[in-house]
Amino acid sequence: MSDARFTIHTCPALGEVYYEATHPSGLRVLVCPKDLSAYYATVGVRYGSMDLPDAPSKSRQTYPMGVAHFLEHKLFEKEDGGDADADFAAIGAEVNAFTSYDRTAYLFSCTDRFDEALSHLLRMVSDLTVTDESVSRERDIIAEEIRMNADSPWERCYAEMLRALYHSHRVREEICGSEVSIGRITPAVLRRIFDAFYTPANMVLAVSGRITLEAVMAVLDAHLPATPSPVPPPLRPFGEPFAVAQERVSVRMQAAKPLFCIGIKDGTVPSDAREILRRDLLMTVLCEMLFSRSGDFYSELFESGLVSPGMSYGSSIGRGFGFYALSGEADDPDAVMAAFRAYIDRLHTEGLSEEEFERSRRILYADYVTGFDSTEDIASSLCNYALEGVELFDFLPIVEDMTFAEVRVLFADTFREGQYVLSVVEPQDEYPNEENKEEKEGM
Amino acid sequence: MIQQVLPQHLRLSEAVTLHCIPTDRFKTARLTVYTVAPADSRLSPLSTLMYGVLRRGSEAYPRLALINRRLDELYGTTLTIRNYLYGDNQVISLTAEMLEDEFLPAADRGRMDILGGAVDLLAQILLHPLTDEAGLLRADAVDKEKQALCDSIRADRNDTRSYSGNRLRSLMCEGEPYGLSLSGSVEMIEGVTAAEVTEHWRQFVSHARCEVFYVGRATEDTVRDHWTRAFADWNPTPIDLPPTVLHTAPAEVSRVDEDMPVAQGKLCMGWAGGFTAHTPMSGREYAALLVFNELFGVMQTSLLFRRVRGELGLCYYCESALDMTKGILWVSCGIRPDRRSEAEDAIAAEIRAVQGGEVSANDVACAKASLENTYRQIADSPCSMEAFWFGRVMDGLSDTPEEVMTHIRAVTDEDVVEAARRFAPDTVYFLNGTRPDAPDAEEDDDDE
Repeated sequence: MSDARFTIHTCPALGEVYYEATHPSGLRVLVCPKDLSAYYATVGVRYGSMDLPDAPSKSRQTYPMGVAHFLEHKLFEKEDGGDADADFAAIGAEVNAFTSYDRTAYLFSCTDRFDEALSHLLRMVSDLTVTDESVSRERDIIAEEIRMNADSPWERCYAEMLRALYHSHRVREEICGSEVSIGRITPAVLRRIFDAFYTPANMVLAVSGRITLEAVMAVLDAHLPATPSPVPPPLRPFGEPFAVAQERVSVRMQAAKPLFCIGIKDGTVPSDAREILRRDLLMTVLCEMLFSRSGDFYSELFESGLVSPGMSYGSSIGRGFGFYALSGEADDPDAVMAAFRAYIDRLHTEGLSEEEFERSRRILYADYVTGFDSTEDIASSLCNYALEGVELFDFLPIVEDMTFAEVRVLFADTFREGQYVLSVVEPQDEYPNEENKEEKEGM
Repeated sequence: MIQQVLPQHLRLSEAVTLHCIPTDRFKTARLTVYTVAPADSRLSPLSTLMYGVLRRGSEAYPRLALINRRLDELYGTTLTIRNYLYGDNQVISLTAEMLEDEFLPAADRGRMDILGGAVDLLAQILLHPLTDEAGLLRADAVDKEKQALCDSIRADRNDTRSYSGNRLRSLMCEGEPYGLSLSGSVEMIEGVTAAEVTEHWRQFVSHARCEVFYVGRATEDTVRDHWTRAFADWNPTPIDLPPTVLHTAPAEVSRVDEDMPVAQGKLCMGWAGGFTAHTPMSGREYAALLVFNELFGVMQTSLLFRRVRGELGLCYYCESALDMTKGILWVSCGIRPDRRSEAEDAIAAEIRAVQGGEVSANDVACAKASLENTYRQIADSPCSMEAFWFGRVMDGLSDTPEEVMTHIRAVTDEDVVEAARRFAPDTVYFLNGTRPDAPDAEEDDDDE
């Protein structure tokens, strides 16, 4: 191995272990051996749709929305004009990639010829080939992706909720950008972002399967520089007011029945990585306590017929943002919102239930343990935790020592007027004569 | 290579068979009760409705919230219902996924019988529904479930991708069980009474075909004991499953266009293969069909992906699917409505080229490698093992994933061409997006 220093992380309760090292190039590497057929490897780049390089305002460049996602598409193009897909396909491996708010990930799975597949993955993230012609062709494909998403009433409802929750934080923008913004993406813009952020020092590699850290490091030695790579520029910080931007928004589009998405903004997101993880887990528990399908709120709405079955809920947290979302189908979304307010008010008076807290903590635990049954889940969790600056096995100690009192404080601080958004999709008439442009309320 | 585990099959009664796949590879165990019945325009929607009603409450857990609470007590055990067509049959599966005892927190280990609890809960849901004084399934539960099912039928259009696929299936197989909607129509569901659902449930209890799968650490004896205790009263008469109807292509391709006010059009094309799961076929012929479909529109460098997306830039997705039980090949893609002919011509040209013998050795090799990758991973999850073996049971096949892989390796380029030649064009469905523009793009999305 090129560097003998490595760390062993163990979780005796689950019988799991993984190894961590930093390659001389600066790439952080995590390997979790697992006796399953599939190998999974993922390279995470700390750059996503909401990120912008920080610079003095006079020298700032413009970056159209959707650059990170566009770049993800273009990394599949090789120097010789070929497609990286073909390299993986030739050895029976499957490659994929995705872009989220604060990261871009490239991953593959295979059951054989792991070293070759990893070599392909490393080549893919180390090199950008773009021409005006290839950017233009990709624009058509991404435009279809945008149009596909735009036709989904659920995606629209959620997207509009985010735009109402946030005044300026870029989490409010679509990850793919818009048809207009991608029209302004040029090879030069892509190159600038690639050169700044696609450096080993800004990436994490996580692997799970029948593999050792030593074997992974040997592949890295063959493909990455043996000297430290440049560090990425700092990211521009976000300033975001505490309260929501708008309390109610609605769009009209093709849908069977009105959809709603209630957003609850957490206006005080910590900046320390471990504190963010702790808050993330507390938020998950609180969300489960409040909205679970075995709880009072869902039962009331469901039994009274106010919402259709299948209301979903979740929470999300990242750099400078945190929120809860609750979505479903209802004839009268405003009545659901009123029921939500009444329920929260009642809890402020009567208090949360400690029994619910314990129940929700169990669910969180079960979800975490289930994740260790798949090399895909392990590799992506390892990568996500590392990108966030925490450690996968930090989870259990936090879940064990989190207290009911902490959840009560979180609830009291977040669930209050001024933090709520109701986003609604209203069905439009089946075949409107001409008025088929959406109506936006209060935009 | 990771060793595949073979199931042990145990006949519990005339109509119920237990298939146990013992393994200590996972931290979670999985128990699924599959019930299978011939798809029928009236009975299938009644079954769909019935499962919804049963899930809402039982004698011991009279409300949905109480069933869910019980699941939470069983350390976050999850319960999933799936309802789908398998050839001309309707399959409804009820799955409990649970933690294995040794991975509970130390304080709780050995203190609760999660598997026993899950089996009891499944028995409660299937055999002990909540009834009124007259012995009928509760009218309020039936009414609410009717409402929910009608909403869900109407909401099919919200997902234009699956909606258009279903439209193609129903147009192509009109008059066959495979063309049916398992949810029925709003008009039909609105007319159903609690008495009918109750009668349907009684029929289900007395006549059924049931395959029970368990994947996990418990022994076959333990699973059987739990089952015979919880389902002691259940001894249904087995129902016959008629063979799936062979679908053949019409003399002339049928074309249907429909408008919807969305931005993206969905083009869906279907081909008839002239076989079903019960058509005699060698292992290699079977494998050649899989290889053809893989290289045509499944693998990442498939013909469709390269041509329709990569070269023509017509779509974000363009993919094929092959239903081996019914012998039907599907292609679907999302396109700009004004480029429909271009896309249809390109897709048709790709399959015609393979049928004409144009197939590259490299594509065949990639397709075989991709399939092998998929088949090896069957051993990696309780869910995929169960799905694979349920399919074997349904199709009356006994070959293991390794045996399928052996056949796949033996497939030649000529076999692939022969496999492609089975398919005759049948129906083309186009969902025409009539919304002229995508939603307004947000201007000024620069950082400045």
